[in-house]
Amino acid sequence: MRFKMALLAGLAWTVQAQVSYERLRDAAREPQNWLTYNGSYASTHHSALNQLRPDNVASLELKWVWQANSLEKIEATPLVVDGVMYLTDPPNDVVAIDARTGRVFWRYRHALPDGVAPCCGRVNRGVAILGNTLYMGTLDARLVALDRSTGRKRWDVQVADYERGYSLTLSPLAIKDKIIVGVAGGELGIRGFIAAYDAATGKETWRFKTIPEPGEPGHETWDGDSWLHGGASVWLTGSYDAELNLTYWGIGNPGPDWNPALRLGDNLYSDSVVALDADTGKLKWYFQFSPHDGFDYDSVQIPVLADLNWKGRPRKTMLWGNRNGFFYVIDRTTGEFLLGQPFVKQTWAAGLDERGRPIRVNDRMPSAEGTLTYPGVQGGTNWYAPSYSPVTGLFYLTAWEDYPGVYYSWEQEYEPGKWFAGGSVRAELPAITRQEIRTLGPESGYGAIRALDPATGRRVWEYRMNDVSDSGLLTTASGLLFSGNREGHFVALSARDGKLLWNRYLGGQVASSPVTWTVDGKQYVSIASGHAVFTFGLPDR
Amino acid sequence: MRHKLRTLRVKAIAAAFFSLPLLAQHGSTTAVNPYTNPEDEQAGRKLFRAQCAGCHGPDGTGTGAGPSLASGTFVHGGSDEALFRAISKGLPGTTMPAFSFSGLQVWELVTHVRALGIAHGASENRGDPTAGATIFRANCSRCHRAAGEGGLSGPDLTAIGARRSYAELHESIGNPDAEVASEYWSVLATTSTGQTIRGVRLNEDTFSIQIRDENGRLQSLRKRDLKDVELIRRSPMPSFAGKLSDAQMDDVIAWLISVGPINVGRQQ
Repeated sequence: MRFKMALLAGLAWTVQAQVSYERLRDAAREPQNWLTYNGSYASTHHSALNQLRPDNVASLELKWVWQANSLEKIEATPLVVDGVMYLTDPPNDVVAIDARTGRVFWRYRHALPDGVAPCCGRVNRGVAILGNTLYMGTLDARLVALDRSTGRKRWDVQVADYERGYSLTLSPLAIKDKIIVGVAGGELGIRGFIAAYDAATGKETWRFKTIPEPGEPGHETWDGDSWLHGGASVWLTGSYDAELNLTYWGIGNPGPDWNPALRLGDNLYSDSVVALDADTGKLKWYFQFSPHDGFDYDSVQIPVLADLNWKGRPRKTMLWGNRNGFFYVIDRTTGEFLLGQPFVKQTWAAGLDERGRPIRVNDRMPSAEGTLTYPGVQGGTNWYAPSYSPVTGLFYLTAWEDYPGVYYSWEQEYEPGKWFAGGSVRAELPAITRQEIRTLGPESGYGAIRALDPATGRRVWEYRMNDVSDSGLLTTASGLLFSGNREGHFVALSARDGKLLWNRYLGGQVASSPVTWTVDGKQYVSIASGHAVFTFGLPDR
Repeated sequence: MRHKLRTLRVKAIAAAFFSLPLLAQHGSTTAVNPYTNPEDEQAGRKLFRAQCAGCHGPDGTGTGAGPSLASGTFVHGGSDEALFRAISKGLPGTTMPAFSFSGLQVWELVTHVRALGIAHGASENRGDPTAGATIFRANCSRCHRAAGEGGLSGPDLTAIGARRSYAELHESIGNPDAEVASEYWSVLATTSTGQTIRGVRLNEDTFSIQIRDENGRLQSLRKRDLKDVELIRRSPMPSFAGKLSDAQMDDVIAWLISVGPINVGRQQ
């Protein structure tokens, strides 16, 4: 008997031990786990779990809370792997949490050097797992590999120089034997890139430069030396199509952000999606959403891969609600533009041409006296994870509706590691520091969760909130949509019609995505709010 | 030549002052900005535009990414030392990073940040502040506080002289409805049973509204219990046009300017 128990324990350990590439590739087949930042390589933020349903979600109750040590904003999406939750305590500590109780197994502490001054908050979006190793990008622009069972460091390599404004905020993407990351810092005059590292050793295996160098195609889209500090950051984890062996990444704005006259040309591959060969990093195709951008309309969105019936035939597509206010459908095999429709009020483009290139309104750009433009600087949406549900066939996203920015432009000289934006923006927004109190009027715009029909780009429903939201979305096969918002509410909606089914006030800004998983065969849903992670489940019978 | 003099001045003072923030942590002393000349302000202005305006806005009145620095009050501390520390060390839990500026540059920025508020403020000072203090106590202080004195239901006016122009202040006294900050808007709520509740709207989200009613009571309103909510953007403040002469309004404004942030900014 004792032998049998030992054997069983041994088997359980073997099952837990390896998160192989094949498991990541087939993540949709094990919905009890949340194995990657986006839940699967297709990044649909959709779960096949169906214990939580529209007819029982109202009875959800709090199971446990994990409190962060840090006062920084939690932007990480936790991984849940065989009963263990792996999460960053911002900026760069990592904790392994007992998913059954919320108790901590271990903590890894990452000390950051003085002088790390990232553009937009000391944040991190979580870890990746491959085999028995966790991978994290850090604000001092390093890639760290940690042993999954002890939290001890296996290796630690420098990706870029933080003193020149580079940082890593994204969750890495593990594909086959490689760990892929990209660099942030587009407001600090960096030159962006995506790089793959050998998962076992940390040795760099390929690098794709998001700004082409002299002699490379696309370099001519940068005037003079502007390419040297042209930004084109990578803020967010990419997606992957194993059949095509292509990995897709959204690229950030060109720099300086608000003075496009200092970088004439289309500024490739800023504000684009790039499709790269996962083995070599070679560019297969690109699609640029906002050529020669002057409004900081980063393509900092997650490429959502959906296999659709497109005009009568099956097609591998990519769905993209862009910061520039347009929703796009793109053929992910070829990069062909299939559809583009505004999903929020926008005044910078008269529309898109037949190839998806924006038709600018009177060459509208930031100016010395200020240029009023919709959407404002946070965009029609931003980095908040959207969702696609194969059950409803709808694409869901977090939208910031009906608010403008007044965009200013001025001269700016590059200094290493210093702010390099060439202007500023005035916007009547609930400033981050005042989020607890909201007294603005309806004229200041509002936040909404919206469902779009991918076939037309038209809105099917909207769930309107008083304040804007930085929360990602999660849909389930049972027809639920979970999200949070800046107000601090955690809500469950009907994915079909947007009707509110349940909500709990958690009291802190939600700035990451909900995830769902099971332990002991029971389904749970977790969300970070304020400086804590809250986990809900159905009452125990 | 000017540059050389400036360099000498910097060298002479730098050692003495840059170490003060450290000392102050032990409670022994407080650092005071030694660089407050117009040329320091100009240097700070240039640096602000290049390095700070991206989040705090071109005129420091804030964007979605960073708050206004032009209100004359600083939530993380308004002393010279607190501002110095916020810039050089950053503010944990916010998007404000630590900046690797020289000590001189930080002080220049502090000087400019203080001027941001003043740049929006009253430039004319036609009245008599002493007379203004008396008029303020008789007419305004039941609701308004200034320099630590007066009621709490209306906005604290201590920094208003730096934040608003003379014309704006004059208009606010004569026609309070001209511009009402959204935190002083009221709601008139009608419940499903037909009861009406009125109060200053303190907070609102998708599901509820928090108000302070006319009796100072804090009340919670659930939107699902309400039939109608009217947002009232008028001020509860009465107009003083006809009650105070133009000269008396000038006196009040002069007094508000005299208690403004040039004085309060130095307080801890």
